[in-house]
Amino acid sequence: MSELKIPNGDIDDWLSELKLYQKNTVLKILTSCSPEEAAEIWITATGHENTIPFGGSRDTKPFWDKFKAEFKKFICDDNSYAEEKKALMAESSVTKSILIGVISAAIGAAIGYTATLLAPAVAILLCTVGKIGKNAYCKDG
Amino acid sequence: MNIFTQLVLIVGRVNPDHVQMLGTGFIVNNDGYIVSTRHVVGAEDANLVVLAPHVANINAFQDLSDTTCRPVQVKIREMDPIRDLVILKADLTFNGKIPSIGSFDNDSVGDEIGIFGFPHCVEGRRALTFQKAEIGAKVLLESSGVKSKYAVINVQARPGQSGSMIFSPKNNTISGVLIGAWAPSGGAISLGGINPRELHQTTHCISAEYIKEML
Repeated sequence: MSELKIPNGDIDDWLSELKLYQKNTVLKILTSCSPEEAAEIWITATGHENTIPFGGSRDTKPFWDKFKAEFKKFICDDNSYAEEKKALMAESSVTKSILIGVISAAIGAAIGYTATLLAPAVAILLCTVGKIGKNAYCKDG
Repeated sequence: MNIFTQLVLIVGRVNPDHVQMLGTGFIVNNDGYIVSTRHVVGAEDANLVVLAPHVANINAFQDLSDTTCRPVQVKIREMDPIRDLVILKADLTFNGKIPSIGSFDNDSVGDEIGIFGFPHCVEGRRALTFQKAEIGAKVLLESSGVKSKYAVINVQARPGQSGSMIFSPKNNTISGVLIGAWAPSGGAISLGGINPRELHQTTHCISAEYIKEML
């Protein structure tokens, strides 16, 4: 099986594959923190910190660490998510949009989170991988 | 007013022996798109449902002993965790006329708004409830560097009302979504499961304009 390639591109390119509300919000978050911090903020936020919610059940899953570990598995471990990677390889052209969609759905199904919540964080991390290269990303603890 | 009995729904999750009611949501278009809050639905759509309307007349006496319900499966379509909003999609069509989505830009401090929701539904009580309140302030709240428009409305909300529709009779539009009560974190205590800091006569609602961007 050939290797999954993550294209290089700046953050605007990757975020342009998202819905406009996601892109605009993430760009604002990025003005005050690193890409990885922005990804964490996005997927762990539940509104304003000083607002007491009136509904729902408390979400106590250690979500960020689990998400990040699964993302790393997808990118670095050839034996993980083999079916999804096989499907990606079968595509004649793997666009950024397809990568974001497939990885968000795969990780979402694995850890029980909706793909639409994960997509912006996946886009940000894919941008990082594309920039530093897969080998360097996977070598980094 | 009866139209709101069909538009405003309970959001819940199906468990093995019952439906856990989580909060309120409301239909925003004829194709079955429903708005609620991210904190109401959580982060996964497994077993997520809305309950089909249980009354057609808002003046009817709602039988609180009636625990029958008709769950309709929904999927999460869009989620904005910073603004605490979510768009759900149900396999249903709505044939009536739905108020258009507005914004608190078009409401003034002192204007009356209507709140349609299900207070105490998280405790098993299903009573579609209408409240009136005035807009006490229009504020920008910053969350993770992102500023958003809110209205502070002069009424106390209770668990189950998150995701309630804020309706502007002046503009005949949906102006906002009920989010929660201002209660600065830190030093919080709980008395019988209630945080006394949330027991004040104001509630925060986010402007509905952000819904438009998500549809």
